[in-house]
Amino acid sequence: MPFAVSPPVVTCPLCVHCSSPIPSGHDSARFCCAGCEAVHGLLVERGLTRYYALAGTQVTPAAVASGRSLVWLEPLVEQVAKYPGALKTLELDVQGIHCAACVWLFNETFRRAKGAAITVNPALGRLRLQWDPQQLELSQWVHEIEAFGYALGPVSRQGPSASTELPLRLGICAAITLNVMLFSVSFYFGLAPGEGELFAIFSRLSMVLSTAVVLIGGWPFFRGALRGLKSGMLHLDLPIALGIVLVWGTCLLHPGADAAYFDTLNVFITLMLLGRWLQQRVLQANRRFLLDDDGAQGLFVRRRRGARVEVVPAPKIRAGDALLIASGDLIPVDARAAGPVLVSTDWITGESSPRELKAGDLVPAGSFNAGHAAFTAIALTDFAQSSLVALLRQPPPAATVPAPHLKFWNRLARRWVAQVLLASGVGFLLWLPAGAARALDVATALLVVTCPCAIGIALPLAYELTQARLRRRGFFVRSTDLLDRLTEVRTVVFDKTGTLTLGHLALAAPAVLEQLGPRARNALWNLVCRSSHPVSGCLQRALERYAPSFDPDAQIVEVPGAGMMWSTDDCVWRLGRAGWAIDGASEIPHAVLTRDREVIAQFELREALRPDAMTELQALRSDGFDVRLLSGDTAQRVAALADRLGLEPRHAQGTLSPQAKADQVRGLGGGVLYLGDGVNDAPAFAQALCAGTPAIERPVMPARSDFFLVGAGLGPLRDALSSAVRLRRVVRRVLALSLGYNTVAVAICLAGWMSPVKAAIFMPVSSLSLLLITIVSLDERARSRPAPLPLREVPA
Amino acid sequence: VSVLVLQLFVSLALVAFSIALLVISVRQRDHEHADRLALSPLDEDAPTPKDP
Repeated sequence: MPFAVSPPVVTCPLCVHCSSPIPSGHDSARFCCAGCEAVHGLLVERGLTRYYALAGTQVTPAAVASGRSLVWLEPLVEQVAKYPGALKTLELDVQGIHCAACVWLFNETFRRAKGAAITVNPALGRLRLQWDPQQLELSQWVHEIEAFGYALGPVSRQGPSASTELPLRLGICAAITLNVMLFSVSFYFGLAPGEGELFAIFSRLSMVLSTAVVLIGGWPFFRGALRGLKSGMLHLDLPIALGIVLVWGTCLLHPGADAAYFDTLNVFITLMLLGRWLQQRVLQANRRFLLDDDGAQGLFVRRRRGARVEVVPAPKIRAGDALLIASGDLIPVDARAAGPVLVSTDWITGESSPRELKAGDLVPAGSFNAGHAAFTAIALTDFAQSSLVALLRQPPPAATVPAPHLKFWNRLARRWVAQVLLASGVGFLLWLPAGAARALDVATALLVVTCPCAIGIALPLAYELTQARLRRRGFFVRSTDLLDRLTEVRTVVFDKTGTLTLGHLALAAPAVLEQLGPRARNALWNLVCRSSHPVSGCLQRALERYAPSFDPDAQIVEVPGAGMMWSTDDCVWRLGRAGWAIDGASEIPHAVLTRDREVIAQFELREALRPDAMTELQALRSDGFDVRLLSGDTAQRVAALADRLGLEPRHAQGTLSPQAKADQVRGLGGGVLYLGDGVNDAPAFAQALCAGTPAIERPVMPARSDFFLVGAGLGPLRDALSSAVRLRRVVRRVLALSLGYNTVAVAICLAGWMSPVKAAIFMPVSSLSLLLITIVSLDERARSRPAPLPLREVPA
Repeated sequence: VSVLVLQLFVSLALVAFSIALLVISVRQRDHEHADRLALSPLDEDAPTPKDP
């Protein structure tokens, strides 16, 4: 069983910024991570240290400044600039606000930047900015505030419009309920019908106000029940709605019999609304973590400008741009194919076989180049009109299969209401000999006391909370059942380039490009422009300053796991693994450029390991996982990396073709989690229990990706594995408690020991208790995690 | 009884008033940080560096 070894308890000095313990062995004696150090430096430098006085102990570790692209901001600013008036107004979403000190920081920095007015809504995570473009360059301020660890984005398209109904109903019901409770005090202290007018006033007021609460607060339950009945379903709100009506009816029929009923009826409805509102609030807060880009900001596209090819962020694409789509690349906007192309839309439609399109055909946004050659397509729309972001939000087609917990819940929900109604009927019949009033009491108590909300609210909440926490740490779940599958993972397999390493390669000896002749440079340029492999990206960046010419008609083929090949009239150029590009076996460990199998140049590349790769792999092993490294890179380099990472040589294999990787994964049996980044990993993805990619900017296989990692570190992966185990434990606990409560409650009701009044108290108390148990169970351990380790690149 | 009726009227009027304020606050979407808005703007005090 993994996670037998608990993380070591750290007893060491506290971080100056966030007061988290500083990990032993850390370079800095004052800060727990680079983010905190950077943010503290900024606060001191700009005279903003009042932040600490306001924040008290609520400071959280700061994220490392991400240098996020602000291309999303330009169109928003351009749009508001068209409005008349000197002052422009814009609303933005923000994540990372957690206390009054954050609000103060936003206010203060905006004031110093000569902004006119700012309203920060920390609950919604929203800013309303007013500024004069002559006085303030908004992007500069956004850059400045993001340096403090916040993330800003366009206002969420979903909007918070649905959120105002429940708080409004809850507020009204709470206000009325408190007054009804005050009236009830007089009944408890002996106000009886004999008091005459006073009793009548209090009784009537209680009745009128309770009726208002039933109508205002009960409506969400009545509405759910009625909609369910109209569509022929027994909605879970039906027993609650029936219970409310029965208790209310009893109060109306016997206003003087037990005035305390009004009191509990009001409290019951208010508590039920409170539970709903809490759930809605948590879910809405979770939705805001993602802001609005979903990785599209990190998506880069090759755009042709005459004989030049430039790499631009996808949001900069405009209609009419000529896009060069390499093998495996995603098409970011609807486009028209300039020639015959092979595209796949399997991650959108689930259709596994690629489609052949002719010149002039529409290539839909979100499809990707499934051929082995790059092609040119003309963008038909701006990126702003593209449906890609909405598509990236969708779960993969495979995720349409409901997760096990959802299947269980759906089964239970279908039968729950019928069984509750049946139990209520049985209770009524059993107690009918004792009188209709007594039987009605038992039936009402049975309707009210059973509590499916515990499962219906607590379980989805547990999954939402876990996913939200993982998102905050950079782990984005796409498959609905991923958290269930993660508990079965026993082996974690990593690809090397772009997965354990950052994928940002650098030429060890850039002079090698100087020594190439113009023709070889042009050939190399044409090869690398048509590939999205990290090696090609590195060479493309290095070649840009030579302004090589681009041949739009070059017929270049990418051989997955090997390299790129260009057959010209008089020779064949190859760029890739030496063993493939040179005829016969080769000892050269680097990528090579060959002309008719003759080596023209060797490219020794340096790559940077992900900052926490070493510590994370060690931690995974100490948690009981079998960790493997499978790569298409040379065996020598893979062995060297494995040695650095402390992996056993037999657990690290190089020179593997995509199919060989898939065979290896299959050979490991079930329970394999595969983390890879390239088109070479597609077959292995299909064989793994779950698979994901840290390369959000190259979503070439989202159809098989169960999750994405964003950020430079691998830490979120281990978080996800441990969170899944923790979640399973919490789910089991909640189910056991709920089952126990309902069994005992029904038995007590049938025995006649539970009045509707008591039931109306027990039910929301049990619901909220389970909700709190769920939240505390998940939160308590999250807080006990050690502070995040500093992230720095280390040479591989 | 007449005094009680007057007190009831005043208390219910206060309830109605508070509900009206809530409705306004919810419509303006500042109901979750109304307390902070009531305290703003914060005065600039002397910096109190946490750095020793």
